[in-house]
Amino acid sequence: MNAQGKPRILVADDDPSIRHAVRLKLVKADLDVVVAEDGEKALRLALETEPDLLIVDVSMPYMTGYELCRELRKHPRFEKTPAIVLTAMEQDIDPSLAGELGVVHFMTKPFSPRELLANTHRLLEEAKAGGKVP
Amino acid sequence: MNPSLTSVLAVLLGTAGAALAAPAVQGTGFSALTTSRGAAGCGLALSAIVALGVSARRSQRDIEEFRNRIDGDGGSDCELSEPLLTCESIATARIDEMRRTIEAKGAEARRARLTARSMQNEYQALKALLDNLGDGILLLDATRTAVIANASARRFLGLAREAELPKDFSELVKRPTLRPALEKALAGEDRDVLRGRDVDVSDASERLVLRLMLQEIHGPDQPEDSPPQVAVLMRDVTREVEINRMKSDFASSVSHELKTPLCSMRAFLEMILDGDIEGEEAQHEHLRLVLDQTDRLTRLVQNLLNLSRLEAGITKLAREPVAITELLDHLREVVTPLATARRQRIEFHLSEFLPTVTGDSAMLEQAVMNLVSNAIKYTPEEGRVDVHATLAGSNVEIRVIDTGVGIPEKALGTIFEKFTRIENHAGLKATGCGLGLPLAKFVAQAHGGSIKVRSEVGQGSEFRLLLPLRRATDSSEAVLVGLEGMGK
Repeated sequence: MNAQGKPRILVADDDPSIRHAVRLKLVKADLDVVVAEDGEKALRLALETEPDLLIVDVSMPYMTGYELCRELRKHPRFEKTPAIVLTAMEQDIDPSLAGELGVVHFMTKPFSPRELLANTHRLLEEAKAGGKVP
Repeated sequence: MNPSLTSVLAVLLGTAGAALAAPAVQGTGFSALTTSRGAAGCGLALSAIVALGVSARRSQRDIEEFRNRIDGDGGSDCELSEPLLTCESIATARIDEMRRTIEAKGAEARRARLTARSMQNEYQALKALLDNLGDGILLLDATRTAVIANASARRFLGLAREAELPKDFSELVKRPTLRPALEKALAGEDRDVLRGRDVDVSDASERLVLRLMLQEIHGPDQPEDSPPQVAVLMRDVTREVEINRMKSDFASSVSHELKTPLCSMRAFLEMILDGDIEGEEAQHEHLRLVLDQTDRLTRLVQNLLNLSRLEAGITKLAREPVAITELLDHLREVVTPLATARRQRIEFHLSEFLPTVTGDSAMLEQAVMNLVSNAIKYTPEEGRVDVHATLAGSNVEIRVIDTGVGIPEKALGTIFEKFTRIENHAGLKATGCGLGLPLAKFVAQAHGGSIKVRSEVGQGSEFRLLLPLRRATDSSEAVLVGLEGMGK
């Protein structure tokens, strides 16, 4: 959450066009967006900016999206942070990882930005509701 | 018949061997036997003669006496002539019979020797065949003791080529990665082994994948219910598995490469339609991005098609004058947005007077495009790409220099092979299909030129494309003619 109370989303994808499109869609929906072009930068940025939701590409330089999620889950702050995993390859989708990595939603490329935004809102709501339960 | 004659006949019949030496009975029989002595069976004949030698010596005196009587009678005694003829014919018959026996024995011995030799040859041929087979063959008896292991089997098992086969199974299967799979298969716990089970038995020294197959073997004189022998076939499928992996990787890469531009195209178009991108200028800017992505897709599909068509000889290369300056000016327009998107600086340095080369303009542009787009792809953001074109002797030289991650020395030898990508090098994920450089090289060579690469990890790479100015009479003509010929 940023200073204005807007939920903060981390977008990590090595393709500049996709990064740009996703950022544009989320900013338009009044969300605070931080972007990174590889796994390592995304990890640093996440620890630094503490986003409420992660949108990560599986196949990224230096660190895959899965590795990034695994690294972040080691920090108590990110234990329950929902993640949307984007991939161009269906075979990269491993549902068993969802349990290991916490709340993960998979989306295959090409995806609909509209659907991505809907999923983002839904996961943020669920996280918020989950946070209220003692 | 005269009793003494009878005795002499008896002696003669019984002692034909000794009689051979007697001048009185020299005749056709002897010469016949002499002939047979020349044959291979003479050893047998001689031993038969020796066996008769005892009685021969005993009867020598009788023969002497008989001869004296004939001599004394002046050799004209008609009473004797008849029996003598009979005597000789009987002796001849006896000798002929012996000759036949001896010849038969000789032939038998020859046949036996030939059989033995052919069996020996057959054994040697089978052994050579087995030992030259790429497949490993191991034969185990009912107690799982090794009976036969050919050279390949020994190599796969980890045994020395000529070493005696160990009785103990763990000693026999020295390769630790193979033992559990083989034990499981022999215990009947692995049904797949009947069709072939691929087992990765790689170790530090080599990469090796074996396909194990088991076949029970019942010997011809083995009772039905007794445990059978087992033949274990081990086939080296390392290359096959590798090719399958490359094919699968290739399919994944193509799918990834196709979907990435499609993804941003879809995203921008949907957002324009949804009204997320407001204002004509912003919409135009994003439509331009969509257009760039369609170019990216087109390039990928072109690379795929061109390489396979060129290799199959379906596509013929054009032979027209190609103005390198024009070609590079056009290329600059295409690649500058790509470099800018990665916040890289790209510059073209073209000599003022660049001559034309003869060749296929579209293919040459694609070859240079592949070199430049690789430079952009493997150079981090904020990096730099420079393209130089100069006249170098009788060649036009195009150099593409980047400040990218560089190529490890061990990978330099394989980057021009199809589907090769440098995996996880310097943290850069392997993108692309591994077709760009093979296509560039193919096109360069088809124009009588070449591509050279120089690279240093962490510093960058330099690809140098050399295109000869004239190629009408040089060897490159043959390449082009060859390519055209293949397309016919």
